[in-house]
Amino acid sequence: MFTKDLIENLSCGSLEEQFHKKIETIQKKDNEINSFITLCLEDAEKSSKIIQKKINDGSQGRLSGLIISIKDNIAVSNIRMTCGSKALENYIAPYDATIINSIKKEDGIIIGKCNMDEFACGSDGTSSYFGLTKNPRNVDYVSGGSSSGSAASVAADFADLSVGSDTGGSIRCPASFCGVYGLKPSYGLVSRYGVSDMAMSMEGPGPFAKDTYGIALLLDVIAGKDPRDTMTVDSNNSYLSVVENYRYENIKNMKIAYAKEFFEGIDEKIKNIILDKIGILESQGAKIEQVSLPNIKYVIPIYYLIVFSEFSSAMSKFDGFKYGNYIPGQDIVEAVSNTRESSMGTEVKRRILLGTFITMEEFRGRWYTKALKARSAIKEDFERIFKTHDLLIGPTMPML
Amino acid sequence: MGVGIWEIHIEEDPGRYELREGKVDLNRCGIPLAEIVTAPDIKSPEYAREFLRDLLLSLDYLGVIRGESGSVRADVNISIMGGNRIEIKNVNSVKGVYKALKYEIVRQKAVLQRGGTITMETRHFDEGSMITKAMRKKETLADYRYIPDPDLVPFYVSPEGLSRIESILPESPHNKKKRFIEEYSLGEEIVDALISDLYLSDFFEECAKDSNPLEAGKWCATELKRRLNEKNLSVSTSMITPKHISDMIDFIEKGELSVKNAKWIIGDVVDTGEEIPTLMSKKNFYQIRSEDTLIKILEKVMRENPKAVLDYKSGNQNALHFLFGKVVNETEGRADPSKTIKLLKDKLYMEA
Repeated sequence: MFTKDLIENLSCGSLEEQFHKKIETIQKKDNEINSFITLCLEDAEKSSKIIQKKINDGSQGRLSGLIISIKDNIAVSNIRMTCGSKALENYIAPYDATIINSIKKEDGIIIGKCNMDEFACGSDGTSSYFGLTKNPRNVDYVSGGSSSGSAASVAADFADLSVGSDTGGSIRCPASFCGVYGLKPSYGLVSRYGVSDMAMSMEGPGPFAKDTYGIALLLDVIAGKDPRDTMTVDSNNSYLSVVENYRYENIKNMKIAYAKEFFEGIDEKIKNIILDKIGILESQGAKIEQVSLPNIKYVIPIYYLIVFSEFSSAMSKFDGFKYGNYIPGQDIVEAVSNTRESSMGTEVKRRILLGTFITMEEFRGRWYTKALKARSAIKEDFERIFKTHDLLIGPTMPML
Repeated sequence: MGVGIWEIHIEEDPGRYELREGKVDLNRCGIPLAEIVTAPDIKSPEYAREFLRDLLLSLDYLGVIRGESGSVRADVNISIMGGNRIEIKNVNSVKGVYKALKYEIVRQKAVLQRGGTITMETRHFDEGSMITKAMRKKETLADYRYIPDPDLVPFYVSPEGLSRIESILPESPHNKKKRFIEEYSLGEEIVDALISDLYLSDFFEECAKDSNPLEAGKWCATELKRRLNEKNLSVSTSMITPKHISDMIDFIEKGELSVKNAKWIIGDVVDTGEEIPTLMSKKNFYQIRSEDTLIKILEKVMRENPKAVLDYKSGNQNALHFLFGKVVNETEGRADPSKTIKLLKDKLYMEA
């Protein structure tokens, strides 16, 4: 059911009934899908009763009782937050992330914390300490990652909306794999306060939904300036009104670009689907133009250099002293090493080691600083295209 | 002299972890720190000492140093021709920096002269023995894995912001020194003594409003400062006020108070805060200026010291000073000195 109809139904029907239907579905199917690490049914039930009352007096917030799942690297007060790792297996978040606060204020019901690739290191949902997430569309397939549980929980109808986080596709990829909508907001649009991020200069939380209405609604709630995240900017747009005011004929005379580099090394089936969609847009009156992003070929090496560097820095707090399951050693180096060895997966360790290597003083000028410069060049490619075009269109993932 | 400043890092003390005891000491956690990195412009231990004194004084004037000990520390880097850079960590006094540098120059020269090499290392300064000791060999570069923090937005200081800050900055010690010399015609030595203590220099300016600045400067920079140091006080913790100094100078200028007694007064007032006129009467400090009274005292002294009188008459000038000393003793320092000398000479001449 579409999000808008759902809200209408909730406002005249019974929230409790809706809520129990969701729980039944979860109990029936999540053993196999494995989209949740922690369920918070008791808290959810409590808030559903409070929100029901508000609905009765017509004073409910914008999310008015929609059921929302949260990626497990986002802090929800008094609920376990694992980041998909053994290192935080028993860690209870002491406060709400800014975006969780906003969701609670607008009367969203938080149903549970979603499975994810360990510390967001992965793009298929298989590196979680709590087991892989299966794709609800076809359980023989992976769900994609790293926000694997977020996408799967929406696709399986365990939740109406979900919040994930995206650094290099961690929302877009599982959304694409699971056949739901996912959006990576521009960096700085959504607060990261209370998010255990992988790469501070790129990551950001973003919404999952079954339609653009749901995406816009949730984005409206979580976007905006947060004094606790200095990188955030004000958001005065209502994305929901953009979605609601969209008319079929708006597509006419829109200038849409697609980059030829997007189709290099891509699965033929996906290529044809995308080209087919572009054809539809063209037939509706859009002006389609092929463009080139010459620097995009550097995007993968630059992405890894930046992510590994920032990740190794961000992970230094998980040393067993502040966070994580402490395993002693003869000295501090051995203790940290024992702690990480026993509580982190291969991919996480690989990224920490590489990041440590890259950021060593003698290599600093060689890699990280260069990567930041190249990143600006890529950014300029995009800015150039958005000067002359309204949209840039491309496939989310190159393979099935 | 000039020392370039390369960077200033703003940090917070994270707390201290003592691995051996397995304890974390969070007492200093969150205390703001600023690290000032200078250019390699310092050419000698003396230069380093002068720079640090100037820097500390400026920071003191800005009111940004915490009182407790160890709140200012220096990591001292030194290299001599033919050797690598040595870092001496956590030296916590200006004297320590000077001594550590002196010691390192001698040590490094000796190592090189005997055919050794100076390798990059971190050393520790032992305050007790005033020497440096190797702390850890080979600075592994991996220790320093800095990347620009993506969560910190660049902070631009606008020209307006800069001038706003300048407008609320207190006067720097250097400018104060220049101004004191120009405005009050004070000597450099006196001014240095005054500006070395912000409270004392403010105190002086108050005194100078009501008294001759030359006199006020002299008294503040010498006797007052000496007494305060002696009693481990500052003008803010002592009972003395600018009015005390002005009143005192007033009495001296009227010839009613001797310099000797004035010094005693300062020693007393820093503790008691007693009013100067009250003290003058209580201690009977008013100088004896009446010639009749002085002559009577002179006559008594001459009577009691006939040998000195004779000595003077036979040409011994020292006898005059001896007799004068006796008069001073007799009057507990209250005899007006110039009058006394003049009367004494007349009297001796007359007797001759």
